[in-house]
Amino acid sequence: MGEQTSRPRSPNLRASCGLNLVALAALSALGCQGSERAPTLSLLAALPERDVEVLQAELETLAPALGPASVRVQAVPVKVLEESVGALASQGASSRWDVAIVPSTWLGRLHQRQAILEVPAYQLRRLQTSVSPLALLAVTVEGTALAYPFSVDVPALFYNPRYFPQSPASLAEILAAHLPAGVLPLGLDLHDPNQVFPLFLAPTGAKFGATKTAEDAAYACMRLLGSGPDRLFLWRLWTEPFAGKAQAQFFAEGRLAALVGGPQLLRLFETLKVPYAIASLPPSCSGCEPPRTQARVAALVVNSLCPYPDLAQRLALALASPERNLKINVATNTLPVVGSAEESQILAANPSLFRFQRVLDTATLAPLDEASEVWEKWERAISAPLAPTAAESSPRRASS
Amino acid sequence: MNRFGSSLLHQLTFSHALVAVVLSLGFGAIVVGVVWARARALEQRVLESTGSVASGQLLQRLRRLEETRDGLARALAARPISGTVADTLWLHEVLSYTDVDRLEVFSGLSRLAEAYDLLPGGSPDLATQWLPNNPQVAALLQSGKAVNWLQWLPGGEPSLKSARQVWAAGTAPLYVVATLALHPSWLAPSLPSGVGASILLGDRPGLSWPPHISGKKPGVFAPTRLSRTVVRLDDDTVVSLELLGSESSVADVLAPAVRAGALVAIVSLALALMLGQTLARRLLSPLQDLLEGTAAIARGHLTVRLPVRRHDELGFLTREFNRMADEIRATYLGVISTLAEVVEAKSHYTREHIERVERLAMATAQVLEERGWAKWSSHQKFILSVAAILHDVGKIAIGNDILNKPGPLSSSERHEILSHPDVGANIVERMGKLERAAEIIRACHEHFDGSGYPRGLKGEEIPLEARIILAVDAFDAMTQVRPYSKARPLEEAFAELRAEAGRQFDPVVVEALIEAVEREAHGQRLASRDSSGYYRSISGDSGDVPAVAS
Repeated sequence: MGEQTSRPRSPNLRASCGLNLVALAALSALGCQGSERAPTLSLLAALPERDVEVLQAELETLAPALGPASVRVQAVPVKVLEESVGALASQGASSRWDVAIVPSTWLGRLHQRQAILEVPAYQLRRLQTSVSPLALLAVTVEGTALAYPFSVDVPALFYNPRYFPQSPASLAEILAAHLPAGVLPLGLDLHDPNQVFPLFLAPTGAKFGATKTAEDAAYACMRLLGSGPDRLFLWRLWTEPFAGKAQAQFFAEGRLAALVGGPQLLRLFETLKVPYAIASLPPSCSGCEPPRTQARVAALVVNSLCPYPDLAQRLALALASPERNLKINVATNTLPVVGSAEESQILAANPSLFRFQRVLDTATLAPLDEASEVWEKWERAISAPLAPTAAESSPRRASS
Repeated sequence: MNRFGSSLLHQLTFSHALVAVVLSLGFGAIVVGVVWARARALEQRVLESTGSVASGQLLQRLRRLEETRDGLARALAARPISGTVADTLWLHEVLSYTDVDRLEVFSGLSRLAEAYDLLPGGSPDLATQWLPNNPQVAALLQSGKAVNWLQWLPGGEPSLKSARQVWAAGTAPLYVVATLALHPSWLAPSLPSGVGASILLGDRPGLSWPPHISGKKPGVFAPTRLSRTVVRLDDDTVVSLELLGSESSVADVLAPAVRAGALVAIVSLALALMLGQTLARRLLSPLQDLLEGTAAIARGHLTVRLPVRRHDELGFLTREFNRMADEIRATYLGVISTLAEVVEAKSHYTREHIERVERLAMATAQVLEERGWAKWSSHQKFILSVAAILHDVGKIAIGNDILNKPGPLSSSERHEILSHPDVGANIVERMGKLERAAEIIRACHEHFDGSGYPRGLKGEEIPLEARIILAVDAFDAMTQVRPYSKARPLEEAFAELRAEAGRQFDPVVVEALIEAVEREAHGQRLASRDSSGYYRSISGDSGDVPAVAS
């Protein structure tokens, strides 16, 4: 071959280059692939175990909508919740939580300590269209929305129709009723002044939250009890830390004629097939002004130290969304925060809960925080008037 | 590269890529297997430690239940109880200091007092199914033993019961029962993220945490399981824990290994393709040259020589090919030489005439190339050279009396003379591979204006090589001493050539020939060794064969 010609570039070489480029692209794609695991959010709440399971199950259905994330509910006692959520921002790392369900009365304190994030404006607009004005008011402090409303609790009067064929007209009527031996007339938890003051302040004309409010309410309460034969037991039943549990048991066993309580009791009474009826809170005396029921709102707050604030806020907003909020609250026997709750078929299918929803129509927000001065005075006031008799030995020593 | 070369190239490249992929996949499989085994072992250890903590928590709950039971029993020994509201309140106060769900006091078969925790969701169904419903427990209690047992609610929820007998002064024996509802959420604090657990109670379905864990994924990604017995209760119920590794944890651990394996495989594949193709090209390049060289010889390109670039088997093969090509060429040249000698002997030509015609023809061709008027490959030059040597080979068939006749030729003699180009062409044609040379020889006596013979071609119809040989042959005849004429001076020969330009000769060829002759006269050698001098080399003047440039 005398002729020496330069060979053209082979198509195989081009194919090889193309293949190598594809390989490099694949390499880059693999190299860029993230290896981080899906974030996990911790939701802290003081809820009964059964309610935790309901919430956890709902969160598992919600998780796909949040992207690759999981949410874990941690149930803790109220005291632990308060300590964890209320910890100063600098101490937040030691109490790991991302979202918490807290009473709306805590929000001011939490905001002052910069422990929680505000609701972003775009989410607030969605809340304004879906949440009831009362619930929205509860989470708004000085014009700033600090939390996502989650549930509402409002007290009503449970009464046993065997002892009261008609709805009692006043607390005095209940206390004066002729009841069988061993049956106490009224269960009332005096520990929450938000529930007690409306009952006793109306006749005295004292202002809610004024300096002398606690004393005025205590005197009014004592006057109401003054004539009753079971005043000692009633006082204990109203003031002991375990009062709520004992009252529920007594009412369930027919040993308590009436009881002031929230919708959480419905499950118990329905399970036990206890005869009960529900009415709005009556005035303390016949002819007295009817009390304005105080509603307590539980709200979702987002930790200011949460590593995934956007995700946590989306989670909180999702739990406040009408359909999901109704579903969770009806399953846990609490009232939803949805603006159009009364039109809900889910709620209509539960007549007792629906009664509470109607009570909510005339309710106002519970104004007092546990940290307030009035609350402290009230606790002192209820511990003073009646001491246990010597005949009632304390079981503390026995059980220790 | 032809199909044969492409196929080998693909095969070699593919084999490299295949080896790389097989090796990297094999290695990757080993790595993934090792990682998988270690991940499973690690998860097993995590489950073991979790199981230890979780069962400790369950036992602690049981111990606290027993402590509550015993504390209440001690208190009852000192405090009479009759089931009044005050008694219930007192029991509630006790209950508030504990974390049990229900306290009950029985006198014989009747329940004297009870306190239960309802608000956080405790169920009233936790009420104890007392002795008549539970003879095994009754027997143990009446024998004075403290008893722990399990009671199932109608809804399928279990509760732990712990009871003991109390002897209070002046009363019938009392029985204290403390109850704790079993909740799988107890396990939550001791479970690492992703680990699930079930409390198994005898042969009943387990209580799982987190709710709705399945653990049913089959195959190698099935979660690791660990079962651990916690305690055997007095009703022979065995409480055990089953821990379930995360369904995704092993997959999560494996994912980086698989990604790394895929990276290695892809990098190996890319490198194998690059290196394989480079090596294949390096191996196939000499083979490709040999293939093309063989094809060239088959087409009659007798001057083929391949460059020897390697010193391995392929280099040896290339050298052998060149040797074979040389032998083929020498055979051909031997035949040409023989024919040339016959022509010399027949037509009183001297060897120098043939040599000069060949040399001048090649020099003229070179001038034409330099002027850009023509372009020849080395093979075409070889053909020109052969044609120049054998341009009068047809004269072999003409009788010597006609060929050397001094007088005018008769018509038949003339006809015989005119047929010698065809005869020569036929001879050369039969040698094979020299068809082009035969064609040139056939046209060597055609004139530019069409007045030549044997076919009367004119102008461009006549092969350029034939036009060159015609002019060169005429020039040599004019400038050399012939039996019937003396040599003419160069200027006269040039004038004669120019006079016949356009008639007998191609004007371009004439000018190129004159330039070649003038250059030679000035001492410049025109034709290079690779394109001229075949005749000299085959006739013994020089021992070497013209080389072919590589």
